[in-house]
Amino acid sequence: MENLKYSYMTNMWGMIVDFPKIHDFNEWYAHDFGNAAYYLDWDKILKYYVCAGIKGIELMFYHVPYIRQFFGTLKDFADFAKERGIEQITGMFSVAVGSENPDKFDEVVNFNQVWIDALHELGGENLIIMPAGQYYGVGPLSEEQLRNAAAVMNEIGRRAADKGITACIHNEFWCAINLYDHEKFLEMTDPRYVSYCLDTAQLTIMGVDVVDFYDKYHDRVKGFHLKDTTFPNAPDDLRFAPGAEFADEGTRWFWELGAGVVDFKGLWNLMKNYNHRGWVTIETDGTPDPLASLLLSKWYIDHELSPIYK
Amino acid sequence: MKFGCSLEMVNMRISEPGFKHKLSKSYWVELYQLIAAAGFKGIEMPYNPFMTDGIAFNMGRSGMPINRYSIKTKYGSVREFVELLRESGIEEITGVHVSANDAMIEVMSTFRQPYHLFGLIEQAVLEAVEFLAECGGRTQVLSPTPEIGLADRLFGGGDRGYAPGFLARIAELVNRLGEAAAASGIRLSVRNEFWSLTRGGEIDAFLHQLDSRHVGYSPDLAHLAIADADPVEIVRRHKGRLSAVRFSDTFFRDVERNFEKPNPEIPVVGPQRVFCDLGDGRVDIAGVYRVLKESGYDGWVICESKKTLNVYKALLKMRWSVDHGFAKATRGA
Repeated sequence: MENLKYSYMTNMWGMIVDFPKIHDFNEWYAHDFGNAAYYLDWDKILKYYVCAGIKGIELMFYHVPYIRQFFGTLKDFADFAKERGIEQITGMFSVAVGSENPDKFDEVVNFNQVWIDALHELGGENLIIMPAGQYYGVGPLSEEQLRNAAAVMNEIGRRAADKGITACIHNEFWCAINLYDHEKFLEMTDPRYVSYCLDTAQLTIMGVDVVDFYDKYHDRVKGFHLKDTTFPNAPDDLRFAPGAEFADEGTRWFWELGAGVVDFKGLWNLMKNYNHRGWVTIETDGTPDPLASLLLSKWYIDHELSPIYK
Repeated sequence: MKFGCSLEMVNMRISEPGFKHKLSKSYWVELYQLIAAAGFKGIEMPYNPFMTDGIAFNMGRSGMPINRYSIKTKYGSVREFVELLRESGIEEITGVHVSANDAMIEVMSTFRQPYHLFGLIEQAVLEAVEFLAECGGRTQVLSPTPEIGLADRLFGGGDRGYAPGFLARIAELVNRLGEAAAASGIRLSVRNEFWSLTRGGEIDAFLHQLDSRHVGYSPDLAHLAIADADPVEIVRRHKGRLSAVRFSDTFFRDVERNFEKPNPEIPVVGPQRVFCDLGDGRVDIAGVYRVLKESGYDGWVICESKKTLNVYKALLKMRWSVDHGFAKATRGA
């Protein structure tokens, strides 16, 4: 039994995969003679994951209403995935926009309660939450605002725990909680209810050494989002710009594992030291070819990282 | 008659290699230039002020000019955005399109009561009118009802008995918004998708409730054809109140009654490809063009290849259709 199992975040092909299954390839091939029909449906995309040795998937919160509309129930979707070899919907990504504002406490918590319930129905285990809005227009947060945001995370965490789900902070490089206060924020939250999802590229771009961070906070880290970057320590003006994650010039922040500067081997050595177990999630944000990037990342894991720890 | 192009041909819901670039400003800046290169000097833009739904949230923080907020954050200001378009070769934003379905998604995303829909439609139209006035555009297009599948669920509880009262309230709202838009020098015009409560020939009765002084009609040919209406006849019947006529195409037949299901443009069973590039489908574009010519229509015709699988190829195909397709087919008529 291996310690690490691989999942994949499913918003990498587009904002959402719509069709459950394309029934007639030729309907899409006619007139265009292109490859579109290979990427339009869950049926094929789930099979690509399984062929790459990935047995779990993560969803975005906004996928939920559409999945209900297209599949009937969330359980129907989970069964659909299982039939194709996906063992578990491992997690879901959500947001806590407005958490710094005490007037929005109920609104933000109730918003996330919906996704806790949905994830429970899907059989998932990690609710991964961007803890505030984007930095532009919101940050920097005052001490009091950080405490408000931490209170929101604690309440979401308590409610998630009631359903057997772990709430995890996920720090984007463009979040209102950023380089200068993200550790303080983590320490403001209750470790009984709030864990951490370490996104290797987001933190590196923010200016954090992910190996040092994991060494310091390994007790809090429940999951990982794995991707690489060639742009460590991005300056404040880029991270704090409007819509910073979608670079105006179309350039990439994120790359396949091994194609950037993240010290994954150092991280794997620490995971071995701390005997980390469970799902870790591959992401391929920003790529023009998700299938190629998925396979390249998995190759790097299988051939460079798994010999260290698996 | 002038031919423009709709930015709604770019499918932001598609999953495909290269999709992520559509979220960057650079994709759109290049697209404006290529639209102009294809000979289209006017564009119609979608306008959605709501950003709670995750898909809308992502669009709002991308380079897609979906609302005032996205334009301000990515282009600086409305004035700078219009200047960029002009430098790209696009002379005019002909209009913007607001859909009541976006308001419905906001109702659902924020877990509000269904009756909030009407206020959100009003909010969206008024914001879009203000934006359009600043851009110098003239036509505010409105899809006045949400998808039947969602409206049935939220307003009808599975029974469509709510529809007459609902449409009467929508008509009252549209008339009020039409008057407000006119005060800004803008013409409000309604569009009826195949999934709308005003679908196909139902538009006749709905238009009858609207004040023709302030509210026009913007037929979308593919949507009319899918709703089993004859686009030529519909356009002829309402030739006196047309604006922003949408030339679009389809070979889809709605044999599974998708029009009354949620997400009707993404069928789960039966035929699944709803739209095709302009000129590839079964819509009698030439016939509609002939009616427009005969009636002396001198407004914008907005070409669209909705959800095209190749935006750049579709742009050139649309230009070919304008220069050599339906126009040539009607020569001498």
